[in-house]
Amino acid sequence: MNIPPPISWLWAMWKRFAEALGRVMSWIILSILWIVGFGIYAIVLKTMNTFKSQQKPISYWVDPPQDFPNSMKYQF
Amino acid sequence: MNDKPIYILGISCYYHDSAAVLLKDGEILFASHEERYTRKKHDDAFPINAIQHALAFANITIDDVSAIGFYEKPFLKFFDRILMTFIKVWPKGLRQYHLAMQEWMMKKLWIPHHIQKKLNYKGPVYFAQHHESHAASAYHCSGFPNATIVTVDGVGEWATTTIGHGNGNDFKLVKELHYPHSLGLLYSALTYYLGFKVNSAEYKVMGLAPYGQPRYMKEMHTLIDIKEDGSFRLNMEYFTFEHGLTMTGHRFEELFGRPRRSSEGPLELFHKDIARSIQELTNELMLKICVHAKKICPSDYLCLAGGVALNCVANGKILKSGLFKEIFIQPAAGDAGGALGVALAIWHKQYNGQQAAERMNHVFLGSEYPHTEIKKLLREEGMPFDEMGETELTNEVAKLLEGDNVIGWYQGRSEFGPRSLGNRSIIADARNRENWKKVNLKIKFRESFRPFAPTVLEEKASQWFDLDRESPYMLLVADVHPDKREKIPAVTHVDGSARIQTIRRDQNPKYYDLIKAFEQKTGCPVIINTSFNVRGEPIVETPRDALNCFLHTQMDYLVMGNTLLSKKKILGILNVEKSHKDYLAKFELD
Repeated sequence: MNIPPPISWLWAMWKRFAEALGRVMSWIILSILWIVGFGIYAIVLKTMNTFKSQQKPISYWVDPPQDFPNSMKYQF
Repeated sequence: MNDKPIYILGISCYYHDSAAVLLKDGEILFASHEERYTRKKHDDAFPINAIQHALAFANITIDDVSAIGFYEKPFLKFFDRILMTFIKVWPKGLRQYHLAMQEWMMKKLWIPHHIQKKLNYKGPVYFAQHHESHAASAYHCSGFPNATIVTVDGVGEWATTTIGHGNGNDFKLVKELHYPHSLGLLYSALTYYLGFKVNSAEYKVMGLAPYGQPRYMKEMHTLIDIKEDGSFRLNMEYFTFEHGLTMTGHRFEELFGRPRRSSEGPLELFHKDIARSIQELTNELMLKICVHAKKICPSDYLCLAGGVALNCVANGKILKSGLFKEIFIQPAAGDAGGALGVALAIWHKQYNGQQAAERMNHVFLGSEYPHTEIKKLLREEGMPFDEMGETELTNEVAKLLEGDNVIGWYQGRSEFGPRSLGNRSIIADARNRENWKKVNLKIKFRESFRPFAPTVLEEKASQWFDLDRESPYMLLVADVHPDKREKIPAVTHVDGSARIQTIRRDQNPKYYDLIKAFEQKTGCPVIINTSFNVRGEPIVETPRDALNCFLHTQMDYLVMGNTLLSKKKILGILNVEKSHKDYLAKFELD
């Protein structure tokens, strides 16, 4: 962005402020997400014993997920 | 019929060991690590430098590239494994969560965008699963018509260990183990506990192991439950990597009765015994995995990849077991090799490429710097040098190698993978015991316990080592014959073993001729070969890197192309005693 020199310092200061503000806002939003989003989901799943491992199975090997056509085109 | 060559670019980045690989009609044209250009060890940045060098080498632009591949599936990794792990460990893990979310949201979820923007590329971008990339890098370079495939590393998306079967042009992964249950992470946890750097210094633990005894196997088996079929589960009560920024915590320290060793702290017998114990456990587990792999995916041939496949001691045990007739270990077995794997996977799956009948014969796939550039640099720096014909140079260097001269050997194209194999090497006489200490302390400035690896002429290997096959990539450990140990003490580890590189003339004629000339003079076909760098520094890439490393260490000679530099002559004429402290300060200790 071409800012005239007399006020370019102001633009630089504003950008630095915006970045700092962004970091603070990100931290707040992510923390709220952590407590509310992740927290509720975690409590529900733990209540349902989703993460409790089975009693010593014979083998820990699992089958990989099924491949699907053109799977290499996707990021999942 | 379209005769235009098909160029495929494979990329790995944003975790550790970024790399770029360029294929032309399925053949590897160029492969290099980003760290070699940026001089930042294990650089994880987008490999823009490696890519630019690849395109320049092929004399093409990005518009000629038919497809680009990325070595893992970011959405699967983030939206499935990473987020589910946060939910699992909640409320722990807040700090890790903050760091990870920002990194992923701002960078790692935007791979196609980065590729398009940084390269101005408009074509298709493909994604292979992480272990699929590893498996492809091993199987498609092996030359085997079919194979049992085993990949073992820290973690990809979910898989940490996979077993698969290759047949003809394709392969299929049939079983896997999931995060957090990972042999790679277990080894890294012990690396961390021993005060070394994770994802960087695991090989130091391997080198330390022979100094100790396996006194802590009971504790090791407390950390991990291993089934007879090689599957395993970590006891996560002892590990903190799922939710924290460290690998282990107080409970781990209580188990072993000692706190974690501080980095650069003294190494005691306890630490050596721990190293030995984890190495024994790794050997046991890798063997069990391979036994089971052979059972469910039978073949006479084994392909290994993934970071744990760099554990040459375990590889040596697998070889010695006789389970498989032939073994191929991808020389770039770590994440850099993922770039190669995804490119090969695209070639085979999207373009119906044929399985190569020949094995990957060498790894000299990086950049080469012309002789004119070398001489220009030396003249600009005012370095006195001699220039010789190849035969004269070989004989002269062979003569200089005798005794205690340590020589920087810089030739041709740089190696792909973590090992120096004769183009970016520091070489010395393996018969001289003092060379072990000299090279460790005065040239590499690294820990004194670390052994050096030998290069041996392939046809003479079985006379000196308990090895009946080639080992061109320094990925196998075997015993030095008892009657030879006193003859090559500088490469014989305390337990009588060595991490061997065999060399044939068709793999690297100049390097082979040098060792042959040395053998003719001394009767010994073995020399020390260690990577051309100091501790914490990536292997030298350019002539300038090589010259800097030479000037700032106590190397005696430097050979670049057909030029020979003598440190004595340089010091005598130019009075350029360089401080190694300033040089070392540029590199973070590994």
